[in-house]
Amino acid sequence: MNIYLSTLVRELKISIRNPSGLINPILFFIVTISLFPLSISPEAKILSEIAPGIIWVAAMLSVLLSLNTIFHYDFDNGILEQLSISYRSTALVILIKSFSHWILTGLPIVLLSPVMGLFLFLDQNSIQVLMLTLLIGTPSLSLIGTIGASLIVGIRSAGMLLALLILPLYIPILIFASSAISQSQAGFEITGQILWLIVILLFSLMLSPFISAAALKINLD
Amino acid sequence: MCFLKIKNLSCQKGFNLLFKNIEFIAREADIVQVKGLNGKGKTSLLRILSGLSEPDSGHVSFNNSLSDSDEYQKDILYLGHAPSISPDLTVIENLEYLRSLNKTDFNLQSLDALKKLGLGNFQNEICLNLSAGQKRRVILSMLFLSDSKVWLLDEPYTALDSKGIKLIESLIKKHSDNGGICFFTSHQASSLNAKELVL
Repeated sequence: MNIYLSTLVRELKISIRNPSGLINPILFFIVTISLFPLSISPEAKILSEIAPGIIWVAAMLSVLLSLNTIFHYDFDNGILEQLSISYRSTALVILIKSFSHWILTGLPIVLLSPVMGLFLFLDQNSIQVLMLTLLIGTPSLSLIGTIGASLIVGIRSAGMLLALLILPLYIPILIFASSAISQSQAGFEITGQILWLIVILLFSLMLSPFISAAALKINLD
Repeated sequence: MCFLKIKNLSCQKGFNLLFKNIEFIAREADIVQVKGLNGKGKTSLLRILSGLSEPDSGHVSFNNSLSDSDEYQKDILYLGHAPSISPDLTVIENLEYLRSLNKTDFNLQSLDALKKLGLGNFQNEICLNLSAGQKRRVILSMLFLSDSKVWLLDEPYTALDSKGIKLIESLIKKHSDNGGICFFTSHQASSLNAKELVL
């Protein structure tokens, strides 16, 4: 089987056999959002106003929560060594790993978001915009997160360090995405924000695999 | 005629100078046993030869391609201390993935290699449930499948029983008879007619 396809299949198999890593971020996403109506106010007007921010922050944090697993086990088991000295392109294999990370965390979040949107009284149009921003934004979260995961791969319990490294890079995505939803609620045009999210996605697609490959090489030395 | 050339190689870890200015040429069919006391840099040398680590000075080349080139890495099979297998995958899944990362002979089936190492009945077992020796056998079955000219084996006999050791020795011998080069580290006396590289 082709190495890139077999990497994808391998990643999916490992996470299905180890479901806690798969379920934790999604549960975190649901639980965090469901706490807001309890703690702030159950009123539709207030909730629908803050919903875009809440859903996006929860999505971002749950992606952050799962980043550690991208490389950690493969580093401990020596698979990354084999990958690094293989004549196959490390960067492309890493791109596949980011993609499978997105399938396992980003995609479930996109699919769950309409339910969470309804929960926070978002109207139908805003839910569509929310799903669109998540669909474009979460792959960037996985790709940029892969850079962070590859930088901290040799360090034990580096959760906080990872957050410090990665959250600043997530902030533009958060701003454009949540402002797109608020603007659409107010009836404004959102093409600008969506285009910016696409630009960020394209940049992270181009750069992230190569930066991660270089960081891994340094960590394996 | 293939040859692996080590030129002026030095390696330092922290404040320790492990080795300095090593010069060595391994030619076709050479078996080289890297010897040295603990902490003398045997593993570091093999990691440099594999292209995983950068030397502090000097370089390594195989048929004139340097150790950081793709051509070099196509010809190298490195089996290190780490298990190189995922505990959540089955024996055959792990082996197939290792195969896809390395250059292997497509005429040979992974299952046949496992059978030869006594893991024929374990192909669908999750690697978590294997013993240390069995895990070692999973990656060592790459030796049956590999098409690489240079083998770098770091302590290949660890956790193996005497029968397993004999089998690996015969594989190394066969590789050398086919014109391959093998570097290995071991503290055990070996029945192989190996050149020595003492650190």
